[in-house]
Amino acid sequence: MTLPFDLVIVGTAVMVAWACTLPGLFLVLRRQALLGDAISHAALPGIVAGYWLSGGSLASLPALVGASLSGLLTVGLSALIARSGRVKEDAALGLVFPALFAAGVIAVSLNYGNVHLDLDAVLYGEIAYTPFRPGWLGLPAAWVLVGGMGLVNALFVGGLFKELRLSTFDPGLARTLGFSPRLLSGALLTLVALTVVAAFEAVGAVLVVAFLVVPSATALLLTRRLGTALGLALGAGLSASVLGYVVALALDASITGVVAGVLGLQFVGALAAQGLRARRVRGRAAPQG
Amino acid sequence: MTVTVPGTAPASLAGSAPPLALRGLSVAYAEAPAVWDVSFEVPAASLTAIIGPNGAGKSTLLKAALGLVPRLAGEALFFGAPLSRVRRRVAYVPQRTSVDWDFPASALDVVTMGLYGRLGWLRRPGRRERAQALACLERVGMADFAGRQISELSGGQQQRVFLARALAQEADLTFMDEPFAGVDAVTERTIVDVLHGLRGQGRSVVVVHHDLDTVREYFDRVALLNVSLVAAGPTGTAFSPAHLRAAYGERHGALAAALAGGPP
Amino acid sequence: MSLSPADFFTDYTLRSIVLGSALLGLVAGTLGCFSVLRRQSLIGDTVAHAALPGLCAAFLLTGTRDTLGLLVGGGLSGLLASLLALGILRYSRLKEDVALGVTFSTFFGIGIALLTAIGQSGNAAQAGLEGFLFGQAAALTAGDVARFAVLGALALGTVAALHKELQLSLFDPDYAAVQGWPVAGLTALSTALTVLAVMLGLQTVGVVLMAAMLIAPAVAARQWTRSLGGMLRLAGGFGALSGGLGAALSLALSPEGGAGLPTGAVTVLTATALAVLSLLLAPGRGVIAGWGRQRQARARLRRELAGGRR
Ligand SMILES: Nc1ncnc2c1ncn2[C@@H]1O[C@H](COP(=O)(O)OP(=O)(O)OP(=O)(O)O)[C@@H](O)[C@H]1O
Ligand SMILES: [Mg+2]
Repeated sequence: MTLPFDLVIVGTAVMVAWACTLPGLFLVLRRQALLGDAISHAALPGIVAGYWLSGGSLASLPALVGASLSGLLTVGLSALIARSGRVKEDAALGLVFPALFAAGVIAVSLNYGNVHLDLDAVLYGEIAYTPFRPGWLGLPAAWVLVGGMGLVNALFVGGLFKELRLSTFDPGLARTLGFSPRLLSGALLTLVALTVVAAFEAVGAVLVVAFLVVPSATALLLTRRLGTALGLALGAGLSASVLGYVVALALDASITGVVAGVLGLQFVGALAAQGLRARRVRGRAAPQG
Repeated sequence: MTVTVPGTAPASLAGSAPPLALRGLSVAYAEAPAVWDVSFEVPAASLTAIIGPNGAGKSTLLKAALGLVPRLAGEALFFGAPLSRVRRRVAYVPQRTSVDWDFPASALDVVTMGLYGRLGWLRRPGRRERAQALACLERVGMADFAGRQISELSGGQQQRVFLARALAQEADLTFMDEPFAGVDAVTERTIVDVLHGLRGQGRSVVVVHHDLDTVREYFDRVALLNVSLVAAGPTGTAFSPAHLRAAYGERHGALAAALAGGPP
Repeated sequence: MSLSPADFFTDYTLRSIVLGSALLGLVAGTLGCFSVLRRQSLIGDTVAHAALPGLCAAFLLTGTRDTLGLLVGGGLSGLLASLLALGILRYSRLKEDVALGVTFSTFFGIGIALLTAIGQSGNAAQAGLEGFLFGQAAALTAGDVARFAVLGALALGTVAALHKELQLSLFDPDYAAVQGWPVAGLTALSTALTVLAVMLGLQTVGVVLMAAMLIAPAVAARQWTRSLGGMLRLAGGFGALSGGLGAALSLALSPEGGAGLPTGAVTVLTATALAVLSLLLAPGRGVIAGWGRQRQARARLRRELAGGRR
C-alpha cells in the first residue's frame, strides 16, 4: 500500500507544524524563540560524528543521535553560561551555537574535504522528498519520526500544561509550590532539541524554525490567554501547511518557501488586526467635550 | 499695559503659565481606558503627589503627559507650551525597573546623561560636565559611589543615582515614578530633603506615591486618580477621607482613610 | 602549506586575507556591542539569513554573479528585515527574540522559494550563491580590503561621533525620548550599521559564523570594562585579534595540498575562545575571580564567627 503523494507531504507539514508549535509556544514566552535555529546549526558536529561512526551515511540513526546530542549540548551549555549571570540568555545562545557549527565545519573540511558531504541537504532537508523515504508499517519515515515526537510533545504539554504555565510566568512561585522549574524547562528544551532534529531531517531547518516561532507569535498577538493561544497557533500551522502546499503546487514553487511565506502573511494579518482594533477603540472611546 | 517686542513672549506671561497643565488627558491601551479625561494644574514651587490604587493609571498618566504613550485625547502643556518646545526644563525619573542595570556604566556616567540635553548633538561631555555630575551625586549623598558600576548598587542607591541625573538637568519640573519604592528610611529622607530643596528654589516636582502615611508630611498638593481624576488640589482640602474612599473604592476606602491619618 | 611568520607581511594574498579578516572583526566586534546590549544578539544571524531573498532577487535582475550587486540586494533585504523586526518590537508586546525569529524565518523562506526558482531555470552561475552561505575568505583581494577599510571607517566614525546619543538611547530609551532625542532613528541607525557589517562579513565568513563575530567579541569585552566606550574599543580589538589570528591560523595549519581549514570557522573558534577565557579570567567580573573573592570572604567571616564565640 502506498499513500498518495499529496497526503504524505501535507500530512508531514501538519505534523511538523503541530510537533513544533506545542513546545514552541513556551519558547516564545520564555525569550528562547531562536533556539530552533540555533539547534539546527549546532547539530552539525553531531551529524558529522554520526556520519563518521556509521561509515558514511547521512540519513542514519547515528547521525540522528549525534544531532540530538549536539542539540542538547547547545541547550545545556547556553543555560550554564547564562546562569553565571554575566551574559544574557540570547548572547549565551549566540556564543554556543556558532562555535559548535564552526567545529562541525572544520571537522568536515579535515575529514571529508574530498568527499562530497552535502551540507545543503542537511540544512535544507526537502519536504518534497518525504514520499520517497519509506519508514515503518508502510508509513513514510517522516511520519514515524515527526509524528512520534509530536505525540510525545502532546502528552508532555497536555499533561503538564498547568505546571508549564506556572513555571513560565513565575519560576519563583513554581519552585516554592514544589514544582521544579529547572527540571520542567530542562525537559521542555530536551523535547525541543529532539523535535528539531527529527523534523529538520525530514523537512529542513527553515520550516522547523518557522513553525517553532511564527504560529505562536501570531496567536499571542490575538490573545493573551494561553489555552486559546495554543489552539489558535495549532490552527495557524494547519492552515498554513494546507494553503502553502496548494499554492506551491499551483505556482510550481518551493513548498518550504511558500509555507514559510504564508506563516509570515498570517503574522502580518494578526499585527494589522491588532493595530486596527487599537485604532477602533480609540475612535469609539475618546471622551466628548 | 506693557509693550511687548513682537515675537517674544512677555516675561511676566511666560512666568505665569503653570509648569504643568493637563487638559482632558485620556489614554487607552485596549478596550478599557487606562486614564480618562484628566485635567489639573501643577503650580510653580510645589510638590504634587499622584495617588491611587494599583492599576489606577498613575504611570500611564506620567507617560502620556511626556508623550511616551500615545494619547487618546487631551493635551499636556508645560509652562504654557507643548513639551517639544521646553524639553530642557522638564526632567523624568522612570521607574527603577525600566532599565538594564547590567549596562556597562558607572554611577557618574548615568548622572552625566542628565547633561546630554544641554550639550546637544555631537558634543561630548568633558571635565566640566563630570564635575557638575559629581556635585549632583554629592547632593544625594552618593559621591563615594561615583565610580561604582551601576549593577553593584543597591536599589535605593540606584534610585538616588536617577534622582541625581534629574538634578543635573536643572529642570524646573521633574516627574518621578515611585521614587520611594523599596528604599530604606535614610534614602527616603535624603530624597525628600532634595525635593524640598527644589521647591525652595521655585521648582516643581510631580511624584507617583503610594505611602498614604507620609503624603501630608512630604507634599503640598495631591492628585487622586482612579482612571479618572477624583480630586486635585492642596493636600489640606483634596486629601480628604471622602476623596480617598472615592479613589480606593468603598471596600478599601475606609482603610485608606485610616492609613492617611489626619482629621476624620 | 608551511608558512613562516614573515610570509604574512610579504605575501600579497596572505596579507589581504589576514588584514581583511582583522578589519572585519574590528567592525563587527564594535557594532556587536549594540545588539548584545539591546538583547538582540542574534540579529546578525537574522540579517544574514534575511539577505537571501535580496541576493536571489539581485541575481535574477542582473543575471550575473556580480558581487557588488548581490551585496547591495542582500543588504537591502537584510535591512528591511531588521527594520521590520524593530517595528514589531515597537508596535506589539512581543519580545526581541520573537520579532527576530518571525522576520528571519519568513524572509529566509521566501529566499528559499526564489533560490529554488533560480535552480529550476538551470542557471549555471547559481552555484555561486551558495558561496555566501559558507564564506570564502581565501577569495579576499586587496580591493576587498580597501572596501572594508572605507566602509568600516564610515561605520566606526559614525559610532564615535554619536557615542553619547547612542549610549543614552540604548540605556534608557524613555528618558532619551523625553529629552527629545530621536530614539527610533538612533536605533535604526545602529541597526543599519550592523547590517552593513554583516554584509561585509557574509562573503568572507558566511551566514552562521557572521552571527558569532557580532556576539563573541562583545561578550568578551563586557567582562573587562565598566564603561560603554571601553567595551566598544575592547570589542573592536578582540574582533580584530580573532579575525587576524583566525585567518593566520587557518592558513598556517592547513595541510599541504588539502582543502584547507575554513577561515571563518577558525576565526569564530578564536573569538569564542577569547570570550570563554574572558568569562573565566577577567578580574572583577570573571568567574574565577568571583570564586576567589567568595572563598576569602567566607573564610574571614568564619574566623570572625569563631573568634566571637570564644
Ligand atoms: N503597556 C500596556 N499595555 C496594555 N495595558 C497596559 C499597559 N501598561 C499598563 N496597562 C494597563 O493600564 C492600566 C493602568 O496602568 P498603570 O501602569 O498606569 O497603573 P499604575 O497606577 O501606575 O499602577 P501601579 O500602582 O501598580 O504602578 C492598568 O489596568 C494596566 O493593566
Ligand atoms: Mg505604576
